[in-house]
Amino acid sequence: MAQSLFANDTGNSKLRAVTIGAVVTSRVPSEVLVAYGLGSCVVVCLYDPVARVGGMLHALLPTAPGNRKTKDSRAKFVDEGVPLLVEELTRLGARRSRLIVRLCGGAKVLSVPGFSDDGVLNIGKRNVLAAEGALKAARLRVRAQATGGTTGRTVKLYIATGQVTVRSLGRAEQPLI
Amino acid sequence: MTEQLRSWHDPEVVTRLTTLVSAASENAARGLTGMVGRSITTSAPRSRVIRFDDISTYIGSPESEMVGIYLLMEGHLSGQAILILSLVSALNLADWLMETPAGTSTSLGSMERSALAEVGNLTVSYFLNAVAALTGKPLRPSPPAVMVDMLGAIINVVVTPMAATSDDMLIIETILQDTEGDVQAYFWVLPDLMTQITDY
Repeated sequence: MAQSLFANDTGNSKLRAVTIGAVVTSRVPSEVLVAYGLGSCVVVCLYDPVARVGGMLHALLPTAPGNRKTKDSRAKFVDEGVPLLVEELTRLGARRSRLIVRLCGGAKVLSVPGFSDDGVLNIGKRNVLAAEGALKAARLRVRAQATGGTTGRTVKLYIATGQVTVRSLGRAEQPLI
Repeated sequence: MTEQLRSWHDPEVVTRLTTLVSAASENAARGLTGMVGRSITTSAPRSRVIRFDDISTYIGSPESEMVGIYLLMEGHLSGQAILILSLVSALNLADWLMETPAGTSTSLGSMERSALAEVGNLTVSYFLNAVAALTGKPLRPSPPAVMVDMLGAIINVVVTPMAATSDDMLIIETILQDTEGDVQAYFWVLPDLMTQITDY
C-alpha cells in the first residue's frame, strides 16, 4: 500500500469545514479542519502540541466597524477573530505560550486594470496585515505562512499532529512547515 | 414610482427586482445567441437570500475550478453582476467564439480570456440596456474582470463588499444555457442594499 504523504492521514479522518466567518476548534485526533477555496480571506491555524488541541479562524475582512452595536460575527473580522480563536482554544486546554501559528490566504484573485495594488481592491493584503498585527498583539509569532499571490487555496489542519497543508488548483496538497 | 431595497426580505421590492431581472435576462440571452450563433435560453430567475457561511457550497464544491466574469453596476440599479461557469463550459464557449472545433481550447490563455470578457460585457450590456429601457433610467457597468480559480475564491469576491454590514446577501439567479448542454452559466445579479428600483 502506498504510503500517504501525510503520515497522520489514516483514511479515518473526519473533515470539518471552517466556513467564511467561523472559528472552529477541536481536540479530536481524527478530525481535520478544512477551509476550502480561500481567495482574499485569511485563515489562522493555531495548534498546541502538548494539549493536542487546534483551531482555525476563517476571516473575511480586516477590521470590524467601529460603530458595531453587537459582538455577533466576530470571526468575520480578523481583528476580532484572532482573540476569539485564542479564547476558545484556551477553554479547550491550550496554553498561549505553546501555540504554533500558521497564516494562509490573502490572495488577490480579482485584478482590475488601472487599480493600484494597495487600494480597496487588495483586501487580501489588508487581511494578511491585520492578521500579523492581531497575532502580534496576542503575543503570538507566525511560524509559517502561505499568503498573497493570485490564486485560491484550500487549507487543512490535522488535529492528530498539528500539521497544516495547503492546496492550490492544479497542485497537490503540500505541507506548510 | 421609485422604491429602495431596504431589506433583502422586502417581498414587494424583491419581486419587482426579480421580474425586472427576468425580462432583462431574456434580452441578455438573445444577445448571447446572436454572439455565439447557438440558441441560448434562460431559466426562470430565482431570488434567494443566502448566508455567507453557506454561499461557498451553494453552486457546487468550493474547490472546483470555475470561471467568473465579474463586474459592478452603478447608477439607478447598483450592485454586482457575475457570470459563473465551469472551466469546461468556459472552454466550450471559447471554442464557439473563436469558431474552432469543440475541444480545441484546453486552457484559458489571454485570447480565450479576452473572448470571455467580451461575453461578460455583452451579456451584462444587453441586460442593463433592457433594465434602462424598462425603467427609463441609465446604468453604467464597470469593465469586466475574468477570474479562473476555485469557486470559493470567486465567491469571496462578491461577498467581500457586503460583509462589513451584512451576514447574508440577496442573489437573483438565472441560468443561461444552450440546448445541447455544452455551456451552462449561472448569471447572478446581486443588488446593493438601498439600491433603487423604478416601477415600469
